[in-house]
Amino acid sequence: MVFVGNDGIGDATLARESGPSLRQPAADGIAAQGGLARAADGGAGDGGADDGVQALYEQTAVTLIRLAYVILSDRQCAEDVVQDAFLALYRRWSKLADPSRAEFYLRASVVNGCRSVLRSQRVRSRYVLHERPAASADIPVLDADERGEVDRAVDRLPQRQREVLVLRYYMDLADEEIAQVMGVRPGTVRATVHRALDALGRELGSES
Amino acid sequence: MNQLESKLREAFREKADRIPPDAPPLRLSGSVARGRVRRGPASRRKWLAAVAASAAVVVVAVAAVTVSEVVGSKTTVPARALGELSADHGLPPYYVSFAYRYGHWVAQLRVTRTKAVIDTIDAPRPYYDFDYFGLAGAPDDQVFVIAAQTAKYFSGSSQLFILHIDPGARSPSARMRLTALHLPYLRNMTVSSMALSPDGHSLAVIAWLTAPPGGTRLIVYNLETAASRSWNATDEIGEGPQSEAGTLSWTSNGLVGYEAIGGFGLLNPAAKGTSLKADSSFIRLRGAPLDASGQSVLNGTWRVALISPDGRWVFISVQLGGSGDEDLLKFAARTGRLAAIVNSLQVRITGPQDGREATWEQVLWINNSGSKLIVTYARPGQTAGIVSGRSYTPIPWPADTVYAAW
Repeated sequence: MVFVGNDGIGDATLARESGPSLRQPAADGIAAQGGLARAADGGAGDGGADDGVQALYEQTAVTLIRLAYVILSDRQCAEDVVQDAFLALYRRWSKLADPSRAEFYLRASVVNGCRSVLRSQRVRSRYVLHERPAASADIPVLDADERGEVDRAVDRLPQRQREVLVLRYYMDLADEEIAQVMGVRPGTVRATVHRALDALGRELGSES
Repeated sequence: MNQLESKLREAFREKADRIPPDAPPLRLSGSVARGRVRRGPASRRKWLAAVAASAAVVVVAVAAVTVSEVVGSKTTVPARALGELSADHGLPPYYVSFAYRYGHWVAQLRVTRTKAVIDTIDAPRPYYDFDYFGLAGAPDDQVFVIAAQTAKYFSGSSQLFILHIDPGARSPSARMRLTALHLPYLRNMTVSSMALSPDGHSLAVIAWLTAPPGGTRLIVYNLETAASRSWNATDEIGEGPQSEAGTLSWTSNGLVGYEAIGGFGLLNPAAKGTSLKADSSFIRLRGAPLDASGQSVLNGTWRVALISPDGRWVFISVQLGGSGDEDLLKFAARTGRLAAIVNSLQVRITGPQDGREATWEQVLWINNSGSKLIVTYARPGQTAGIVSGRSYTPIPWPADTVYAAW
């Protein structure tokens, strides 16, 4: 079997009908939060990016690695996700309109990165049924026995529920901040927290 | 803060404290993520093969394609036209499945009745290390859509492909043809659910933005005209479609079924509204059983949310807390009332860190009237079977197949 090229219909033929576009502000009022805008002054330049990103890394890397680790339970994956987040920030540094938003961008990137890792692990684990996700022998993944009951219960929650719980009860973010990180409305955050606590409560038999 | 919230906070802090207060050096050159693929002239892209089926012939009129030699194609069923295979129990005679072998993905065409392999296709070299997680089939069993992921981490984009099957062809090379699609909206997005319309002309996709500001879209592509439309679904759809295949479906009159916040949604892609909510109608589901705490089981996590192509029946599979209990429920679409509890299962639900994905029941195929379903994981282990009313008939199922579509 071979791949067969078609007769060269390109992207120009893809007509986009009317409808909300990711590249435009959402028509139903959900504004893009925390995105990077072109810097009014034309950007910091590479030297500025190196120093700026390095300084930010020194200030925030451990916190972000811990955030990723609480979600992933895999230190190597957590470190990789954070490295990737900083790399992406570095590439976009000159477009940052407000450097004070960089930390928000990183936080959102880390959460999204964790989502992708979990997705990839989920896909692969369906096939490699008896093997753990690859991890360095020197940086152990938490053994099931080492994780507490609460930790295991949280891991069984759907992804979005897990994220809101970590952002609220580990990062201590307000609902509005969580909403910005996850790209949802604050009402969605509250509803998701409620469902997550409900599900946990049923499993753990605790008061919610 | 109540007791549960305190426990959560304590558990998270205790876990985080395992990370020492020193981070590895920052690396600002190249890519960090394992398996990340650079974009270049060869345009390597990842594939995700998803499961979901119900087929309709797809006529593709889009985009340039990548040509690639298939490595390792082999036929294990004596050469004969696929068209000679007969349907059994009203099921399509063959399906496409994905397996992960020797470090990469393979797609296999298999006989439904016997699981015998008709043909095996290795992932083509530009997409060798991609993750395959999306597969949707058309009712005529001749067209499948495959989705793939470009990178493991947060900057990934999805790439879709059409797999054409010619049942009349006798040689493997003529039997199957793969075409890459260039579709809008999928840059920096991860596809989580797909479904082909019964006529095969349209593809519905749920995808989420991998980079900030995040968000989820429901996108409908007309594969004949190459037109497309995207709706912001971030606050409108439930959690199931954002992480699992098998949670999008079509009616034969062109509506897209999805798990909506608060009920089952039916999107009319032809509507001219400005939001998913405005362009959808909703079925409020009623009469679902109550769980041990007295709440409707529908408050649990929905793992399956499908409508039969004739539009008469809605099937919801609900995970009850983290307990491992799962109910597959059938509702009348016209009234929203519970019509039947199709099955009530105890499944082994684990987290990915336990080395195995949760094995809740999945519906891979549904016939036009909803009277027959093909489900996986309704019985322990790697199993599949036909559910019809109260009866379950196992079908031979490959041990290493996770995703499949008819």
